[in-house]
Amino acid sequence: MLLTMKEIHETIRMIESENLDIRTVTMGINLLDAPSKEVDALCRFVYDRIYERAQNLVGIAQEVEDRYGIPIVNKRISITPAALFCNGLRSVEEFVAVAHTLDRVAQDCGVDYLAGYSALVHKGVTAADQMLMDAIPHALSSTNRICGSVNLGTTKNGLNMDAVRHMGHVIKDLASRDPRAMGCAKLVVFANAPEDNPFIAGAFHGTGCADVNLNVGVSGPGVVRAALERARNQGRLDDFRSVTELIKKLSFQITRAGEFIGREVATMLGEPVQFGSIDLSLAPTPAIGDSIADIIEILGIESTGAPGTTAALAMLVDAVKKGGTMASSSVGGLSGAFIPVSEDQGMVNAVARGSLSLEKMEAMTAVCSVGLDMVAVPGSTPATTVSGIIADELMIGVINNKTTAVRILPVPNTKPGDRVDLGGLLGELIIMPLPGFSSEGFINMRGFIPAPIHSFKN
Amino acid sequence: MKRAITEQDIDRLAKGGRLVVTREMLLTPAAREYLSRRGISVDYETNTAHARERISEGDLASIIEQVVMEELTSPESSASNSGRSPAPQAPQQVPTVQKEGESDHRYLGRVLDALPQSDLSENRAIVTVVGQNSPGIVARISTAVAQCGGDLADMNQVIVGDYFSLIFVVNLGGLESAGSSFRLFKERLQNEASSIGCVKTLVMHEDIFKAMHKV
Repeated sequence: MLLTMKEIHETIRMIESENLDIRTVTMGINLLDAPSKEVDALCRFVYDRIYERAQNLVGIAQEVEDRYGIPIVNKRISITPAALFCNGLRSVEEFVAVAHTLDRVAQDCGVDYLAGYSALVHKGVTAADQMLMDAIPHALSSTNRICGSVNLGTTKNGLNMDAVRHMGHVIKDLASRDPRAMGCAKLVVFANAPEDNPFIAGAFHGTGCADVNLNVGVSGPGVVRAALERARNQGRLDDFRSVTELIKKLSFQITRAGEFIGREVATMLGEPVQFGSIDLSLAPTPAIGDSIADIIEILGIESTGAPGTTAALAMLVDAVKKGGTMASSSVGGLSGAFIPVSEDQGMVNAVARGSLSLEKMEAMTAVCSVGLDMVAVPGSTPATTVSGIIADELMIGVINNKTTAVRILPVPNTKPGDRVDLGGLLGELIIMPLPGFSSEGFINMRGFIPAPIHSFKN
Repeated sequence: MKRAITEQDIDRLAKGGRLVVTREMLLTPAAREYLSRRGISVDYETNTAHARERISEGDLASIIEQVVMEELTSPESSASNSGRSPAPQAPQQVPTVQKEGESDHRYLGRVLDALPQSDLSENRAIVTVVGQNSPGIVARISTAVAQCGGDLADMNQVIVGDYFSLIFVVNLGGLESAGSSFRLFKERLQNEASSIGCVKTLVMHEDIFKAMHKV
């Protein structure tokens, strides 16, 4: 079946001028068989295993990029949560040593990031989980490519508030080690963390996965924005049906491209690599026009955060999911919309204009998106307030049976309105104001918030 | 059905640094890579004259009839045709009788489904060249395509003011027998295009377009 010239033009336009790319191919590697009693043996094993599995990842991804002419922006690795395969280690220092080994192997494989310096503590904290959390400030501030995550709650188990409180201190400690709080950009806390997420910083290789999986994330806000803009200029943007139809169609195409590339990379890597899943999330970049906020504004919201924003975002993400699930049977990961403030120029503008607050972002994450992502607050924010923000956001996920996450940067010596440039894909932060009231009493209570009831959903 | 030839098959099939690929065989990408790594040359045993020619719609019916008759009357000749293939294929079950009450287009559909697909239709590149208009560009690019063993399947040209945008659809089936590869083909075209002042040259395998546009 020959392609029409119109179809050819459409694809070339998406790639060349609308920032369509494969955001990441992430190889998930199982490390559960590591010998975990003795740190040197463990580090040797981890290095060898990861290097053996992933040494060809970057080269093959580049070859596929070359053949099909679509950029693969990031090549990444995710691993079994470190607290699991380091279960036998006995000190925080040994956990830090593992982080350094991981950083070295990530560099030697040429990948952008390696994620999975993680712990799953939604039902309780093991000795290894505790040591990993305590190692995070030192480990993430002294490495370049390691990302960590902690799953603090699930819908089935409720929210581990002891761990929420502890992570408030961990985040503050990590932030204080760098003038721009860079380490915090590599740490995310979750409720209902997915096992096959290809996106950083929250990726890890779940215990339900095969030995080696290849997961894919696509970009694409630029494509949706451009198509909606053309429709608006032609006067075709006046009813919701045509808007959602258009988004579904684009999502279908973007997803097909992503899955095709993912399967191609997995096939070329050969046994034992299996294609895992494609994450449907529209992932923005700081590039002009590659923005979720811009899409919301084209839909007729004057500035993102104004009333109507939550509804517009919910409609957008729902249409993306509908188109994407039609295109692929291997949808997984987060599959929401990312609204990381710093990485999305439109979001930065909305915060600068004063239309978008932390509270409105929280509302937006309740209906569709993945969480409070790349949010900056003043460095003087108390740890209990950080924990309060985390508890609020994660409870939205626990109650609504969805994934939510927090990646927050309390940047030292800043005040609301200050700008902090993180560079590259991380973009520019604007410090957001907080209400200034304490949540100390609530956060300092012990134990769990119980699992929610699954009936009477109102 | 075509038979997929994998890396393992090649060691068995290749004789004296040569591999004869018949119409019923389909090389996997890994196998192709293996061939070029081992320096094994590929000969395509073609009986694809029909596929190479552009067929006008009027002739289609008569060609189908002819192919059907061929397949029916001489299963031995088609088997001897692929005689070097170690596992001869069962003759294609091409329907020859229109069932009672079956509409013409349904019958035609059954016939078309049963016919072997052309190898050439499964490996194409989309070449896009953008630049300032000057005489001879199409000739230069298409010559380079031909020298690499490519075969132009379709072409489209848009000229806006001083600028032009050219899109070629190129069959890559002949690349290997011309001693080329996708990578060399891409490099050759990019060099050729930039030497005549084109600002942008994209060479992309067709499969990504198909993934996005064909269900």
